[in-house]
Amino acid sequence: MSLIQWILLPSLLLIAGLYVRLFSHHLLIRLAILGLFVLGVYFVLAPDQSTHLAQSLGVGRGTDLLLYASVTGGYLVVLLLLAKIRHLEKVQRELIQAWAIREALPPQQPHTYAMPDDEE
Amino acid sequence: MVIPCFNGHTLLRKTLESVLVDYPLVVVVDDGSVPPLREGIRDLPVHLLRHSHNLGQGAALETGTRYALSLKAEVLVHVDADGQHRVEDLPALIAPVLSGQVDICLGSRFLQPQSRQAVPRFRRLMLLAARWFNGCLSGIWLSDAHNGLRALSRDAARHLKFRQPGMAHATEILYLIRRHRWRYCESPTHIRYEPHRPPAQGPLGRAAQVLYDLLLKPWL
Repeated sequence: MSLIQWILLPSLLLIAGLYVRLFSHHLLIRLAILGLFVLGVYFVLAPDQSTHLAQSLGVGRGTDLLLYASVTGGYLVVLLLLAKIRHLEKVQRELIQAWAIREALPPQQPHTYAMPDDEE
Repeated sequence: MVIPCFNGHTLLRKTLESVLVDYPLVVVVDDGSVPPLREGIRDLPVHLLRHSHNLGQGAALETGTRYALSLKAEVLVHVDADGQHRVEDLPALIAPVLSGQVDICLGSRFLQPQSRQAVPRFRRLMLLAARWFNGCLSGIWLSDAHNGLRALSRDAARHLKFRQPGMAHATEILYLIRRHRWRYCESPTHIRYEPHRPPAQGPLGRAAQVLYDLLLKPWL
């Protein structure tokens, strides 16, 4: 094995482990992460196979295929994160509004108010 | 009466002092002001709600409206905290809603010549564009846009829910009028533009913010 493979394999293992731990209650996401991990390990150990796969899909080089997959995957992740942020913003807004209503301060005195000038 | 406010301590007090004389039920929503508004208006007989974080004027109006409904208010009026709206315009605004003729009555600067002339020229141009934009998007063509003064019936107020918490609520309310088939009208109002009271955001920046909120933000 080359040096880069020694660097990449433990890195992939670490990242996959962290993701699996993060999504400990989501079976489908864990399976998808494991699938990506296996694919990543396969391409690290047999880089030529990515080129074969690329050519079978009509892409020239394996590098290009990985680039396309990374860009598409990146956009998907950004989209999912934005959706999550919007959901959290909505929840936060509802909580702040509900809390404001719950903690409302009614007037400290009866509703009899005159302009300061009128009192003189 | 629902008055949202963000960091306008001095102007809010003046506004409250003018409206409280004739309108005893006032709900102030402090939209995360720093420092909180409480100290400055403690002696005034108003209901005070506070957002722990700044959410935007639309969200503050939503909160205040919901709270006012819980107080059994029959007609709700939205007024800006910066004193630009005149108390003298309120009876004409409220009357058609109170009598049941309409579900919502919106203030307009363009129904009377002197009110129209009081609007600075550049702002008038921006409002013309905003009216066109609002009309195209909502199918409801009004004589004014985004002045913030409106009266709603209790039934209409119960459906007040904005998708965007910021300034875009003034356009969103037109969607609500169409969606719920509210009967609506406009009432003349005069906005005070005072040189010593610059708005927090200029008309161009405000327009850009509204466009972003309405057109881009829902997709992001």
